[in-house]
Amino acid sequence: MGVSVRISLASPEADLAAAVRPGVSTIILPRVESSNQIRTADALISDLEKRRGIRPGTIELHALIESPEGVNVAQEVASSSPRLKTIGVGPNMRVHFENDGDALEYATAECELHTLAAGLTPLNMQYVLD
Amino acid sequence: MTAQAVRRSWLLIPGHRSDLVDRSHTFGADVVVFDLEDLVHDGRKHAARANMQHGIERARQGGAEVFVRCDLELLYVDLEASVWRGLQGIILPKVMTVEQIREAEDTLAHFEAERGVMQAGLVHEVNEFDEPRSIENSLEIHLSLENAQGNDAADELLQSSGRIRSVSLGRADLVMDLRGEPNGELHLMPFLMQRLIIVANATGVSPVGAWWQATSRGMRASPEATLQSARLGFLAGFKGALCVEPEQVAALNQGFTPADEGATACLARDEAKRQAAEWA
Repeated sequence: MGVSVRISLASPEADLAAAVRPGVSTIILPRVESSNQIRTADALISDLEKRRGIRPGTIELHALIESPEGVNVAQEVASSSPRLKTIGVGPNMRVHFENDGDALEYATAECELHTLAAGLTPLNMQYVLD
Repeated sequence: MTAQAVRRSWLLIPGHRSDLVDRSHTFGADVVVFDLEDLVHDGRKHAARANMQHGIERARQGGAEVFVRCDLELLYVDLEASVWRGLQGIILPKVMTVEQIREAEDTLAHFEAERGVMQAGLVHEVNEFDEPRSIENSLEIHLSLENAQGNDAADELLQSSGRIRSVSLGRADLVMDLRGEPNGELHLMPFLMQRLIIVANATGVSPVGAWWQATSRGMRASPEATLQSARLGFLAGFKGALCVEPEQVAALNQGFTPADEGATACLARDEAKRQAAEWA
């Protein structure tokens, strides 16, 4: 049974420094709007793995897409890091679409499509992390 | 600073075995190698690393040179735990590329500088700390080539760093990488050993290994089989070999001691170990 930690977009460095420890298996990145966010997190995690005696590549990433901007770059995000194993739609997505059912459904499906095309696992978290 | 030390027996001791670490000065090995890699389960790595500083001091009390075998994937923390005064060098297993050696060099240099560590040298021949740092008094690297890629690149790897002074073949892993014959013999092994001896001699690096025979072979062979393998290895050009059982040490020391005037250095080495044990 692995432990997942959802870090905050406000302080990724501090959160990762606290979260990347032996026993943690997944870091959840919220509000992803660019592939750079993933690459930055990947680099920080690699450095922490090295310094804390965790085999390289152990820590997996789960990206949460939560905005129209995020949907726009979903394809790019899906291929941004070998750590990235799952992509999901996060709880804030509903806020952006003001509960417009059709648009929300389209955005969710768009993310799922790019996730599957990249060989990753779609994992919907709209109602989980609220 | 030192003449190339006599290194006939390299005794591997699992780092987490505190009982063995504590007695590491009593086994008579020319080189004590504390293992942080394959002999230590991931769950025991922490305990093993915690033993290193004390273990290095302990093994030195028997006049042995001390190496630590690191896990390539966990190199930073393994070196953080091991680079202390008294350490002679590290064994890098499963090396395949020059980049891996560069990273090891950088990490070694980082901890050497931070802690003022230099190569320990032989007993009673401790380096002065105001001696300028050079490649000669920096910690050594022993390469263990354990797969096809590493053996293929042996020449390039051995020339890639002035820290590399010795090399061996990782037999168990080679068997897995290259597959054994149905009868259990690894048909490429004699070729790889001879090739390693040639490449090592051509690059000025000391080849380490024994000519293990089927039925009782490898680093856990009986003392008799170890002596025979050491003799064959010595004749083939190896300078010493690794073993896992303390009972094999005497056989390796005997098997790799030349019968002619070359024995003088070995006798001096044995005397140095005896004196160190008296001091301790």
